[in-house]
Amino acid sequence: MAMRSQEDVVFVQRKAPFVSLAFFIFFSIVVSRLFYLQIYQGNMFKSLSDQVAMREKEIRATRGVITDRNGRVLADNRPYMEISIIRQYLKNKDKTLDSLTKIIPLKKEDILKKLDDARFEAAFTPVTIVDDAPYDWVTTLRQYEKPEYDENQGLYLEGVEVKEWQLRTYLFPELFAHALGYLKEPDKKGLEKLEAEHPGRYSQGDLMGASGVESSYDLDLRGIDGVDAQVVDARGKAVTGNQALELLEQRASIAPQQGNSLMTTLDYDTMVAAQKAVAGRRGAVVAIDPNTGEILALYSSPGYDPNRITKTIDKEYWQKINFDEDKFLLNRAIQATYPPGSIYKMVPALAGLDTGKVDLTTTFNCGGGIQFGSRFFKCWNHGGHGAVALLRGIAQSCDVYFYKVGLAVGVDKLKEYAGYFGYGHKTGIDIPFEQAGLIPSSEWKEKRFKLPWIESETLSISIGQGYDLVTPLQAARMVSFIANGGYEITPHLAKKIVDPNGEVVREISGEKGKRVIPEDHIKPIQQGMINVVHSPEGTAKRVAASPYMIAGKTGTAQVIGHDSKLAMNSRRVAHGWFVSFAPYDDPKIAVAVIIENGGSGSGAAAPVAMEVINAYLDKIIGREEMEKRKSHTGDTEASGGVEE
Amino acid sequence: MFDRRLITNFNWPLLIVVMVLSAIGLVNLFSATSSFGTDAQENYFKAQLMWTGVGILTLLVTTSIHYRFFYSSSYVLYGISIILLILVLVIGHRVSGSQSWIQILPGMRLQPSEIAKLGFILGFSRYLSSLDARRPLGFVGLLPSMVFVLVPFLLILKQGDLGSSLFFGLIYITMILVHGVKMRVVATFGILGVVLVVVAYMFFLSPYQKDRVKNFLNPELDRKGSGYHVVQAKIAVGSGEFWGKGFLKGQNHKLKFIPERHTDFIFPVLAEEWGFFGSFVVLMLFLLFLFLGLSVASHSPEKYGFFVALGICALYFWHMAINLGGVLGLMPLTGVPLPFLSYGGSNLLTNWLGFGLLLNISMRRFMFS
Repeated sequence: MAMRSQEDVVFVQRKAPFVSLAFFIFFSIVVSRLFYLQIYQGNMFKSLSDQVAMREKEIRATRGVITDRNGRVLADNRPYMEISIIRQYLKNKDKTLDSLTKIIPLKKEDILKKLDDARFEAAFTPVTIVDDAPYDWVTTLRQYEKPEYDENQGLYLEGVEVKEWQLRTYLFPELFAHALGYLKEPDKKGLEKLEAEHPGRYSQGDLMGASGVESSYDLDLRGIDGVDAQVVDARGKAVTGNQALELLEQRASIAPQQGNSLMTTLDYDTMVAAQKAVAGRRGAVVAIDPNTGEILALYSSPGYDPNRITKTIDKEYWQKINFDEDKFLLNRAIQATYPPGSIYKMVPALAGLDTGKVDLTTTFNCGGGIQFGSRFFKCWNHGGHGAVALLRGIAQSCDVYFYKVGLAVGVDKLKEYAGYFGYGHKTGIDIPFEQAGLIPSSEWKEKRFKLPWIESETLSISIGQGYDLVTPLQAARMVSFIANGGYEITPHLAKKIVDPNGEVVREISGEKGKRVIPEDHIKPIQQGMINVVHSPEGTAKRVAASPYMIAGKTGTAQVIGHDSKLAMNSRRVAHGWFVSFAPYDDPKIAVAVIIENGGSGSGAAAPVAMEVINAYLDKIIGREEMEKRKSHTGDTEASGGVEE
Repeated sequence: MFDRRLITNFNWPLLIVVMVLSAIGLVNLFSATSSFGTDAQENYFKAQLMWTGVGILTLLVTTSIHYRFFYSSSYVLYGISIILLILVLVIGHRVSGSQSWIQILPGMRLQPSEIAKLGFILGFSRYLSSLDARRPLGFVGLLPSMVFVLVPFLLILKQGDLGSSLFFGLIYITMILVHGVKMRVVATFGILGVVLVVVAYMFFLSPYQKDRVKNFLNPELDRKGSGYHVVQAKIAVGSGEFWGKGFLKGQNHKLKFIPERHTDFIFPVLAEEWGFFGSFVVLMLFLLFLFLGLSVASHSPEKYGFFVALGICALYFWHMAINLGGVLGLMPLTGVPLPFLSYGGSNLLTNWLGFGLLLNISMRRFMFS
C-alpha cells in the first residue's frame, strides 16, 4: 500500500477537531431550536394541538362546459349534493345515526353497512351515505347542522357532512352521447398512474372522461380542485381569532379553479337532422367539412343517456346498454367496422388510373357477371350493363367493371391505393377507441392464415367485400379527400379551448394537409360521383331532389351468410352505405352514412345523407342562394355529368 | 487467518450507538405508520424490519472484508457506482418525476444514487490520499478532483434527482476543504459557484427540477406544500413539550397533519411523542455517533482511512443537517431521509454499509502501526 509519511497523516488529522466543532455547533443550534419550540413555546403549541383539529373539505372544481360550433351548450353542470359521514368525527355513532334517521328517511342498518364497508379506508375519508340527495333532505340537515347538537330537538349530527358540488349533465343525452362521452371514477390502479403523470390533478372520488371528447380533453375540461380547511375545536366548532391557526387555515385552503370550456366542431342542427333521418335504426352518420377536417356531425345510433351512468350508475340501465344486442355503447362511427361494399370502388378506380391499367375510355363488357375459375361472380345487375367505362362504372356501380380493374391491378396495389384514401389506418380523430379497419394484402393473408392469396379473392375485395373492413369515419374521410381535390385532412372534434375568463387557450388547426391523390385522377372520380346522383342511370337519383348539388356513391355491403331471398327483416339483410359531398362545385360538407341491415345504400342511406346535407347547407348557404347559383351553372354541370 | 486483535480493537461504543438508534428508529416508525391504515405497517414497518436485517448482514460482510481490499479496489467500486448510475438511466423506474430506481427483485427496488455516495467516497479518498496534504490545492491541482464529483453529480442530475446530486457536492466540499485548498481558490469558487448555479438553473434544469429549486428558495410558492408542512411540523414538535405525549399518542401525526411522516417528517413524530427529552437523547446519540466516526478518522494510521471515515461522517452529517434544519424550520425544506430513522430501503442499506466501513477502519487500525 502506497503510504505517505507519518507527518502527512498527522497533518490532516489535526483538522478533525475543526470538523467536530462544526458538528457540535450545528447540534447546539438544533437543540436550542427544540428548546424554544418545546419548552419555551411548548405550552402554546400543546394547547393548540389538544384543542383543535383541522377539518378539510374538498371543493370540487366545476368542469368546463362543452358547446357546439355555434356556442350552443351541449354539456353543462347541475348542483349535486352528497350526504356523507366522516368516521374520524363520529364520536357517538348511535346518537348521530338515530338523529340522522329521524330527520331523513334512511334505514340505520343501511348506513351501518356503508360504514362497515369503508372500515379499511382512512378515518378522515368521507363515507358517502346518500348520493344525489334530494334538496329537501339537505335543507333539513342544514337546519340542524350547526350547532351539531340541538338540545331542544334532541338531535346530534356530529360527523355528518353535506357536500355540494356541480355534476356534469348532458342536455341532449342520446344525440351527443358518442361524440361527447361520459364520466366515470377512475379505478385505483388507473388513479395511481394518473397521479404520477399529472401530479395534483386527480384524486380519489374524482370523475374523469371515460370516452369521447370528455376523455381526450379531460385535462382541459377538469378544473383544479380546491380545499376548504377549517380549524375546529373538540366539538367541531370553528376556532377563530388565533393568528397561527389562521395561517394554517390559509395555507391549507385553496380556491378551486374552474375547468376550461371546449367548443366542438359539431353542429347541433346537423346532428338533429342525422338523428331524425336515421330514425331509430342502427347505424352511423359522420359529416366532415372537407376543407378543414372539422367534424360537423358524428352520430351513432342507438345512443344512450350518459346522465344515467355518470357518477351514479343506474344498474339496470347499464346492463341494458352494455349487453343488449343493439350494443348501445358501441360508437359505430369510429369503432364499428363494416365491409364497405361499392363505396370502395373509388379505390380500384384510382389504382387503375394511376397504374395506367385503365383510362377513361377503357371499356369492359358486363354480361351480368364473370366466370372466374370454377365460380361465377355476379354483377348486382343480373341483366348486365353492356359496355362500361370508368364514369359509367362508378355511376351504375357495375361490379364486373371493377372485378376486371381489380384483377388488372392486383391485391397489393389495391392495398397501396386504399392507403392513399386512408383506409386501413386510424384517422387520428381526437377521441379514443378508434378502430383501424382492415385492408388485406397477400402478405397479411400469409401472416394471418398461413395461406397464399387466391386471385379470386381479389374480385371480392375490388368491390369492397371479402376481408375489406372500414369505419364510417374512414369512409367520411375518404370522401372528404375526393371532395377537396385530393388533400389530406385530419378529422377532429375540438375547435378551441377557452378558459373561464373567455380567453382562447388553444385553437385546433383545421388546415388541409399535403396532396394524397393526383389532381388529374380526382376529377374523373368526382365526375363519376356526380353522375351517381345526376345521370338518369345513377344509382342515387333520388338524392337529386335536394336543392343542393350532391355527388355521392352508394354501397350495399353484404352481410356474411346473407341471402336476399331469406328473411328480409332479420340481421342478414345487407348494410346500406352512402358517401357524398355537396355542393359538388364547391364542397362544404362530406357525409358518410351507414344503416345496419338497412338494405340498399340508395334506399336506406342516401336519404339520410341528403337530410344531413340539407340541414347544414340550409344554415351556411341557404336555399334561395342555391337556387340562384343553380340557375347560373346548374344545367351545364348536370349535362356535363352525363357525358361519358 | 483470524487475528485476535480484530476483537480487542473492535469499536463497541460505535456499535452500541448505532444499535440503539436503529431500535429507536423502528419503534418510532411503528408509531408513525400506525395511523396510515391497515396496509401501512405491512408495507412500511415490516419492510423496514427486513431492510434492517439486510443491513446487519451487509455489516457483517463489510467488516469481515479486509480493509486492504477496499483500498485496492477503490477505483473499481467507484467505477461500478458510475455504471449503476448510467444503468438506472437506461432501465430505471420513474417515480414521481425522477428516474432513480432499479428493480432488483420483485417488490425490491434499489436507488443506485444512494449506494453511489459510498462508491464516490471510496474512490475520492484514494485519490486524496495520493496527494501531498501539506500543499493546499491551487486551481490546477483542483481540476482532477472535480472530475470525480462531476461525473456522478451530472448523472444523478440527469435522473431528475436534484436533492441527491447536491449531496455529492456537499461531501466533496467537506473532504476537499479538510484536505486543504488555497484561500484565493475558495473565494473564487464561491463566486463562480453562484454564477454556475444561475446558468444551470436557466438552461439545464427540467421544469420539475426548477420547481424543486423554486420551492427550496421560497416555500411560500407552494401553498399546500412546504410552507404548510412546516407549520404543521412545528405544532407537532412544540406540543411534545418536555416529556412528550407518549408512544402511539401523538395526535398531530395521527390526524394526518404531518405529511410524509414516515420518511422526511419522521423527526416531528419522535419530538411529539417523546418530547424534548426524547429528541435530546436522539440528537446526542447522533452527535456521539459523528464524534466516534471522526475519532475513527483521527486514529486511522494512514490518509486513505482518514478520508473514508471523514467522508462517511460528512455523508451522515449532511443528511441530519438538511433533514433536521428543514423540519424544524431552520432552513428551506428538501426531502431527505434522516439516517437510521426514516423509512427507505436504499438509504438504510447505505447507512449500514457506511457504518460497516467505519467499523472496518476502526478495528484494523493496528495493521498499519
